[in-house]
Amino acid sequence: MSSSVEEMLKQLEKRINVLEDAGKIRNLMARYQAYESAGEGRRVMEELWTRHKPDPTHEYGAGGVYRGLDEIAPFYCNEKQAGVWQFHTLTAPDIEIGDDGCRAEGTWVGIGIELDAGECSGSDLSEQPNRIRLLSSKNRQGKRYSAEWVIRSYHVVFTKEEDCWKIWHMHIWEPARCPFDQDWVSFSKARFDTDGIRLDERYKTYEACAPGKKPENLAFWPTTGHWQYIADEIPEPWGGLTDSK
Amino acid sequence: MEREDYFYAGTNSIHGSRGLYQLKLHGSDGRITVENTAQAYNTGRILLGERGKLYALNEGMTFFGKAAGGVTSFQPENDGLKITGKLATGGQRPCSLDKNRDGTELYAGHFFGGGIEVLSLDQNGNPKARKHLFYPVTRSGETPAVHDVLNSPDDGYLLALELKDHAIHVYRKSEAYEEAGVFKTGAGTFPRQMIFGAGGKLLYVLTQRSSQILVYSWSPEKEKKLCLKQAVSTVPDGYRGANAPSALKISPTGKLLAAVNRISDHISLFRIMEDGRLGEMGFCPIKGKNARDLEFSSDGRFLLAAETGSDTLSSYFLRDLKLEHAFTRQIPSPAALAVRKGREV
Repeated sequence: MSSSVEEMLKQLEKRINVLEDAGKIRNLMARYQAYESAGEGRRVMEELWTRHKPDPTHEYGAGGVYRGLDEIAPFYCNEKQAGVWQFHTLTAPDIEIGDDGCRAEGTWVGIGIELDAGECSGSDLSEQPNRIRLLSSKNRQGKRYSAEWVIRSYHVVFTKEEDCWKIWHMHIWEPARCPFDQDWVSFSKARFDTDGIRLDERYKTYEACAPGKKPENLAFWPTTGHWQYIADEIPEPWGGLTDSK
Repeated sequence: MEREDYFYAGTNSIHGSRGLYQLKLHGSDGRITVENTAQAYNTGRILLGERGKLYALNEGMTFFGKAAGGVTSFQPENDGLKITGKLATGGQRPCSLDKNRDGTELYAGHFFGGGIEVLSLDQNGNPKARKHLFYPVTRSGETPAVHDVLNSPDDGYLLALELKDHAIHVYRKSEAYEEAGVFKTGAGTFPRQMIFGAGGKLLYVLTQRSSQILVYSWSPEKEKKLCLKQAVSTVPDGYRGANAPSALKISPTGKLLAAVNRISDHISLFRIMEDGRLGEMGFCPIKGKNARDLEFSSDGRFLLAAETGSDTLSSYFLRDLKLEHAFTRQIPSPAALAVRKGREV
């Protein structure tokens, strides 16, 4: 075989690998979304996140950056609550595989719904004032609940471990959120009033902290950028597929 | 005749917290009753202002549409605490708050980003505007992290505890807030909180990692404004367990200094000697876990501890250098305390 044919085959093999890797990453994110929507957050942590890379990070909205699997886990593994559910779909994938074939980045747009049956569920919420504050609608009997549209943007960095792609860094933000019968502009003030609670609730841990662990699950780094918040800027890509981040 | 104190507890917005708690300490037996609550988000510090005003430092990641912390002012009224103003600060996780002597400015220090911010107050004492934001310069070039800010007793300087360099930064108050000195507390000490005592002549600095109280003389008229006079441990000789002090306070008589220790769950009580240095120590266990703040009652008979890790607020009788448990009330994740002057009833 001539060297030019060999070279062409190598190039083709590389292109096939890139296509296969992009497909695997699409599947990984589809699984991510399926697990999250099914309330199987523990499987997200166990099956989809890196086990070997240093300093995995997770950032949602303006909640700051959580570093390490212990800090990230509460986001996915918090106790399920009756009547609370979310369903998100992923679209517009833009995936880039690094030259070494071991790292990749991707962005997605998500459209979803989130609901909390709240006072309509029959549960006693008197000891859950934060949950009550997040209930944005009322039924005819005056019982509070929430049924909200959510648009999400995702920026994810992947790493290949033992021939499987895993999530290394994930950054999600919500360009829009509103109750089903309001628009996202008129809801923005109410949203800003409660977003801090919403973000904290996502990462808080109900489990007793082990000796030597932090007593609270707080962000490790400040927010990297969120255009929907007045003080912030449009998020920038993390800048190249390097080991450092 | 019974003496009672009104006091406030700020809480982390978790575990069913209702925000800011207005409470009463009953002097006869140390009971604590909840009088009112007001919605407040992650109150990490409470500061009492002029004309009954109360400032809550909201140390979260967002504040009414900004990726920042904030300050909320409250006015106590017959039916509870009324919000009278709010202002976002120039960074996330602000964790310290102080004010100037005439109550026209607030100072906030930020853990994330290390910004020190001057906020102006209007004539009613409500937060009005962000006036000036500046940052300690670290020798390593790292982003600073500020854990405490303190107005000097003479009102001419602002002091800040910076964690990356483990240092006390002193700023002369002016338009520019120029640096008037940097004083290292020692590698790995992690200076966390400070308080002036001895009539404003001494500064007591609590360090989290080295479990110490560093006592400095304060001489604003001199070029070297701080001079280390004493370093004492918050744990007894021979103590080998883990420890992380979180807050310190001086009794109303000025004769006792109390520091609360997380992890070991003890309060260290020091006798303050004539010259302001710290003398004999009592190391007293507390009922709850990982207390983040403490306060003396206005008559100095009780100590209150905000036991964050166990969702409890406890009162303790002070018996010289010992504590005797009086009462414990469940309050979700209390993190900050402030006592109003008490009264006889």
